[in-house]
Amino acid sequence: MQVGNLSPRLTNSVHKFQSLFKISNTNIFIKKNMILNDLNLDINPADFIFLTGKTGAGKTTFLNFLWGKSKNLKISGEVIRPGDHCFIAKVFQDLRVFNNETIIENLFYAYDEFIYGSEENFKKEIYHYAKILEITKHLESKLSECSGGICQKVAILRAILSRADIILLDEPTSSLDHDSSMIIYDLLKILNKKNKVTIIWATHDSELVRKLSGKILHIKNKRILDTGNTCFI
Amino acid sequence: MFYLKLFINAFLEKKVNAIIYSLSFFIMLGAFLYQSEIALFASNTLSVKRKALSFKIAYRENQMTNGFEAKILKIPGVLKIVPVQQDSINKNIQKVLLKYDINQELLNLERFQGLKIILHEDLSIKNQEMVRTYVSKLLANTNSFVAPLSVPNQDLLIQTGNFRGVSLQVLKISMFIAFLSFLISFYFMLMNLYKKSFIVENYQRKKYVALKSLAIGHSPLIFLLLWGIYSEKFQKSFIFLIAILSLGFILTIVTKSQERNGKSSL
Repeated sequence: MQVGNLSPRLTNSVHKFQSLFKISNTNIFIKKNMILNDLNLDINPADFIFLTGKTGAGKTTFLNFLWGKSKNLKISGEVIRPGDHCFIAKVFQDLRVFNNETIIENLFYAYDEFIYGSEENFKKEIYHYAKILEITKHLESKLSECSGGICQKVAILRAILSRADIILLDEPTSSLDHDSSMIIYDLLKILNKKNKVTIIWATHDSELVRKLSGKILHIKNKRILDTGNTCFI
Repeated sequence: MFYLKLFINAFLEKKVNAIIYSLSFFIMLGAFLYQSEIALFASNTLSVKRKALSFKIAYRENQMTNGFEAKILKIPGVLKIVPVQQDSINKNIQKVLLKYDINQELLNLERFQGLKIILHEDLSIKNQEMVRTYVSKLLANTNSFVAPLSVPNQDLLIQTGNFRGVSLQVLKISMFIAFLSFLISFYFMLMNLYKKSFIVENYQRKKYVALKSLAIGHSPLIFLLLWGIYSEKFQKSFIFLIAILSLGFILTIVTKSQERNGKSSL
């Protein structure tokens, strides 16, 4: 499976830092309620991390904290973040796609002329990934006419096409079958290995995580535990 | 072009909202800028439709002295005089002649001229008759006809007087409704724009996309406002201040609600 390339400017900037995030003695609050406490962890470039935990454990909150654009969160503690030149894209749990637009129109929200040069180059990349994700024949269809699984693939593809340095995924395969989930994993793994994209994948599906390879951060009792790496079974 | 395209995309996505927004904007703007002219037009339209207090005369032109019409205009109580068309004169005179079995050819109808003399509405009945009598005296010793007074329905007079007052109130209420419609459609358009801008900011390396798109999309409006301030149309206008504050209020509400829902990075 071949994937597109990061622009050289972005690749160089990612490798400048030893850690992307350095989190020490940090607590995260939403409206005075402590959601996560005593966080101490580092996230490095090219990490592939599974963020696991039960429903309501705080996975989305932690992703929002890393994302840095959520105004609801209050933080106490020491946090070092990557600079503005490190671009973070997020795949939302509620997808946030536009149902009355076609798949191509939804994907074009990730088109940045500075990165792709022309719309033709961007379309080539769309068709390349669409073939991998098996959604080529739906590209001109409106999302309202497509299944939930296709909508989820579109949301993930949109993040991939943004050529972000860090991709945060919140339950990205909840509507996908096993085979499709594996395709998504393979695609992200190649991006991670080849293009050094940092992937943080939040899921409550421990079965899926057991089958895949990556670092696991498990949320339990408002704390994040580094349980080491999974390995392929 | 990117920000303009985004604005147009967000604006036209909900077509009904776009139509309401555009219509209410132009109604509001037009009514605000030209409210005095509109009130005058409404007033004139009403007075034209309502039957005026008047009477008609028909006379041979060669028998009238110069300044005959000017003399009539100088009579107190006369509002204006309006020429009557030849066909109308002929028809009315023929009716009278037929009634009395008089030979029409003797009169040579083509040489008759007609005038409609319109009196002030609030003239008393006694004064109305005095005007008519004076005009008859002016026409004395000539071959002429003086028609009876055409009096508008008294109930209609009162109704149209009230109607004029009501119509001005309706104009103000219409402006207010147009403004409310504009605010509501602006709110929905803004929500849509914020949703799209949020996605753009999440997947492209751009900032403040919503504000930039809004500014570019409303650049004609901004230009109009600046022109209005410069030309003093909007200066010292309380209504204008309320309008600007309302728009700012809507913008603030939408921004804050989108931030709260995690749909804005502003």
